[in-house]
Amino acid sequence: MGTSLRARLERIRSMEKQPKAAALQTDKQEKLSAAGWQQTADGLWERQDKSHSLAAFETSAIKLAAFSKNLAGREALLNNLCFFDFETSGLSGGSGNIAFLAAVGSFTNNGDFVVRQLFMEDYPYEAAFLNSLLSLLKKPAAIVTYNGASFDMPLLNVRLAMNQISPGKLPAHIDLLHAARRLFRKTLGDCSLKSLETELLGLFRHNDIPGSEVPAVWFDFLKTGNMAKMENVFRHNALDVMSLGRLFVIIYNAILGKVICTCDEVGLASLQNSLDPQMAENTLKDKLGKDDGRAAMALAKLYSKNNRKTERLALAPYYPENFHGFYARSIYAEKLLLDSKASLLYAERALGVLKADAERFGNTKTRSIMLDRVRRKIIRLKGY
Amino acid sequence: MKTAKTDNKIKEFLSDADVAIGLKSIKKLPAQAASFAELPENLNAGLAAAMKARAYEKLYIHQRKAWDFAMQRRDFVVLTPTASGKTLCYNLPVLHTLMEDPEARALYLFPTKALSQDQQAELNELLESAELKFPAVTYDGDTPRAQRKMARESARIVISNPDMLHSGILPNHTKWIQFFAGLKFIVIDEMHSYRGVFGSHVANVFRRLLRIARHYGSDPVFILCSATIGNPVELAEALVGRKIDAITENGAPRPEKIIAFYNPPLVDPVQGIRRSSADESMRLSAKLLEKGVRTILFARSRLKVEILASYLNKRFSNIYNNNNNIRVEPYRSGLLPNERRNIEKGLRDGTVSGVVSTNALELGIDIGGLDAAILAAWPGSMSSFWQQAGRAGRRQGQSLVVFVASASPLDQFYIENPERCMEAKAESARIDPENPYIYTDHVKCAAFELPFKEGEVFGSELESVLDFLTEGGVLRQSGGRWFWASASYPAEKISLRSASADNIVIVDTTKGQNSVIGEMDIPSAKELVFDDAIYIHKGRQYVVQKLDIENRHCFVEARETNYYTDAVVKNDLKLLSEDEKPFGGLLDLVVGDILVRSSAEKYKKLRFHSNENIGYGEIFLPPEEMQTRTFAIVFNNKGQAALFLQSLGEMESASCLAGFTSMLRSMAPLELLCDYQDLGTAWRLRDDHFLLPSVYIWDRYPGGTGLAEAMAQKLDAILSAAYKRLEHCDCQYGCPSCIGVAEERFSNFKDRKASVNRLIKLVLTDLHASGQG
Repeated sequence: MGTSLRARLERIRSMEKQPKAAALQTDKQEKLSAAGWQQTADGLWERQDKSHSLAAFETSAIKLAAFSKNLAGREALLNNLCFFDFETSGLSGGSGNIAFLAAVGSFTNNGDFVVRQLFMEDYPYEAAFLNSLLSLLKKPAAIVTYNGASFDMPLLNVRLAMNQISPGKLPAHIDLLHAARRLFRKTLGDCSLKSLETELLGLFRHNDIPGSEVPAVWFDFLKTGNMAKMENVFRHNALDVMSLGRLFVIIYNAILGKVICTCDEVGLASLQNSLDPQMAENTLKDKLGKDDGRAAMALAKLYSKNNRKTERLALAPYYPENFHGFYARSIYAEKLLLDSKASLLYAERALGVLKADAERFGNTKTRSIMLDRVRRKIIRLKGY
Repeated sequence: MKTAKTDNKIKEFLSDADVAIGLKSIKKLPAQAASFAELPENLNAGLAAAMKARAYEKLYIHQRKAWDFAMQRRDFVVLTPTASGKTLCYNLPVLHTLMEDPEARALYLFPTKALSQDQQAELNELLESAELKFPAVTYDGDTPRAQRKMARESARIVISNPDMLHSGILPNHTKWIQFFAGLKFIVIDEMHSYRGVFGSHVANVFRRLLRIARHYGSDPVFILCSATIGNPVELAEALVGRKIDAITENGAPRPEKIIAFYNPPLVDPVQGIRRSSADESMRLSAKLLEKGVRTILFARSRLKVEILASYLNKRFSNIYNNNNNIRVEPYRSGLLPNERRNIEKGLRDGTVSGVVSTNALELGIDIGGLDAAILAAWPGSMSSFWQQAGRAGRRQGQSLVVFVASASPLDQFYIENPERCMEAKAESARIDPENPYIYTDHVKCAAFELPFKEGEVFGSELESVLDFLTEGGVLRQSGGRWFWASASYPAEKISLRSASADNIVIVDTTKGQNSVIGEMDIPSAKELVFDDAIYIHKGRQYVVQKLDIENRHCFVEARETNYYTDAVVKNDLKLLSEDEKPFGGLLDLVVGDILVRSSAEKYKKLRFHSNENIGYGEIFLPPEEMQTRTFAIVFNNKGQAALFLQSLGEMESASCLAGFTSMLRSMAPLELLCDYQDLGTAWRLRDDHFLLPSVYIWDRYPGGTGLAEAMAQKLDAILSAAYKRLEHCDCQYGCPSCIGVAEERFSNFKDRKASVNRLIKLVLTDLHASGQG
């Protein structure tokens, strides 16, 4: 607190109101025009960017179930999808956070990728901005975003509500982040769009603006018309959807097994499972004995769903060496190998692990039930 | 039968010679019979049946009046003591409306989370018996994420608190469209707790709430409930910014209540020293508890609560080694929620026989009725007094309240003038929604929620604050509207309570464990848990290892000590502006902005029980700085008071000013309805700013809450009361019960009382001569 707030209020009250700087607005408009933007309505600007940078273009219909279980059975052509991303005035939620820039990208029939960007010059043009955006988003069969399920789409809804615009019926939404997490969380850790770009597309952005700095640039543009940094934001936004489009194709082909990339096979199988369970099963079988047992666990889950009990039992040797692994091996030894001595050995190891777990992480209800069960099994086996 | 027993025990207690010596007066609040009214004829049939099934054949008259007002869609406030059936005053019209109109919604606001949970339990009981399928959902910081969506989308009654409304609901109003569009009632319970700084914030939150409701086309009715305060209508109107009707007649029956005024006996009549009110209250509580009278003892600070509870428990464990039936618990803020819940439950089911509490138990938390309440020293305000007194009393039989006076002038004033306490007129609650800091904060939040339009009405200084915020770059003015233009989420950084979200967590590191045992706001932490301080938690003593303000941690370790610690706080002042000179004549009275820098640089070690000072330690912490409003009296060489001060030697003049300031601070709460702790004071023999003898009395909340302005208006009344106190004080030369403890450097002046008395009289003369008062 520098000077007294009350005194400052007094000073401002006595200050003459500054005349509005119409000159600033003219200046902004000239700069935007020079940067290739076209004014389509009062305060609303549009720009188009076309590139042909895609190696693989998918011409057959895309099975949307690969990205979300809710879309089972739905198909769409690649050029009938749109790729969408917002830039916003803040990073939090709430009705005071607004989107001022949007990019909507789509593939053309010859594999070009076209990015259309919408930009509002100032706050009062938000309704026009949103209406324009809605008409772009409504055309395709589905909207693809990165982290849109928790950011862009709720934000769109908040902004529409704030402007009392009814969204009507929007196409299906695919958040590519979900599939990306399944595939790459184990291998990359960080599943940000940026690290996927680097790892999968080999792309490296120069002079890119970090997302956290975007709001300040927009506020500065509003006040001063500073266009140099604003151009960075425009480019950042366009690059985001371009990468999104390319990543979408790569990830889809990876799920189908057409492109081989380093990823977590268990996650891959879980995505394949909603397209073709056989494909998932094959992926997991390939991995048996070559990992820490996660593939075996996933396969077991798949088998029990289809009531394939014997096959499931036979997976026991591939399980991880934890409580469940030892317990399953004990059952496997008893029922399949008919070796009660081995079974007892495994049951005792299972008990040991369980006891240690209970000591370390606390005794839960499930743990005490399991403890009870293993103890009874041991007593029974010793009775032989 | 049981009640007759309690009546006898109370009689026994009051006639006990050990008790009788201190009893100055005994007042009785007579029993009152119930007065009933019929159930409304047009009451929804299902609800009527449910009422009858729960044996509510009739309503009390105040419940009926509430129904009538609500049906006429008039905003109103109900003034009701505890246990008078106030919840039905709002539940009946609200449930009726919700049943008749499937789109209707209601918002219930309670000052604390604990109260919301109590209310939800009660509401659900009523809903179940009426076989109503309304979801009534608590929506606060503890609500799980999954349940939140359900609350937003389908709850008909949302139970929350102002803090959650402020930081969670209003900023996300687009997720609550249906709720706001259908909002028919806003119920505000425990309205009296929305005063001072908290109330000033809450009034602004309500402005925002109504703004959002208007945006979605609804115009909800306010139903407010309050404990007794002097100005319920004024407070209600200030809080919600609308005209409010009051329901004051109470139809609920009331058993007899005895209020005893107890003054601890004098130990040293010459110096006017009395036995400590804390020790005496503990002694009285112990007597009652031994008789099996369930007792609550209210103490003024968290520290006192802990000390008294542990003394009491020790005392019982000595006498009744095999009788552990008497269990006494300390209850205060800073305990963990489940610790508090356990104590509340123990009080309800009787496993806890006594409790020592701060004002944390004043609010309507359900602990059932206790037989007796002992108030160790004046609780700071009239409404606190009656709230605490209200904790004693069940449906039937007598209850007892004992006010144990401390040596402070205000306490002694009430001992001499018990009728001031018993008079129906309680003090008023003050809020200042226009406090520039508070108001500006909420303009920010409101702009975040919806852009401001030109000509919009929101408080009194909207336009200048909007311009101020635009200049600072937080808002953008464009196209006749003001838009939020910052990347931040403003509500997150604004706490409605002085105890901010940014609390220090107290961590017990004894024997390598790392368990959280409490929390505390930063200004308090600087004065209570500095390095090497003794922190007392549930009767155990801990030594502070390290207070890490940057990381909001305080590490403590259990250790037995025979002393506790008390920080010595020093203030530096700088007057920033003289905004108002309400009076310039024989004295200058100034209201203005002030910078107060307070620092605790050392602390005292005080022995338990004897409170004897056994040493000092140093504190190394940065000072707290704040800008606030102050009132100042400047002795400008024209009036008789100033001439009198000049006639004294320098030292004696200082001694006289010190006594005068101390009386002013002690007596001010009588007229200002504030707490002693809300004010800071200082005196200067030759002030740096005015270059004259001056006395400052400032508001201890940043930006001020109107206390400095009120002080200027009430100076005459405060000084008159101070004069009366001095005249009646039975000490000879001045004592802690009138002019306060003399600093050592003033020990040469034996008769300080006479000079302070004269100064007060002359200031009053000067005021009157210039046509003031």
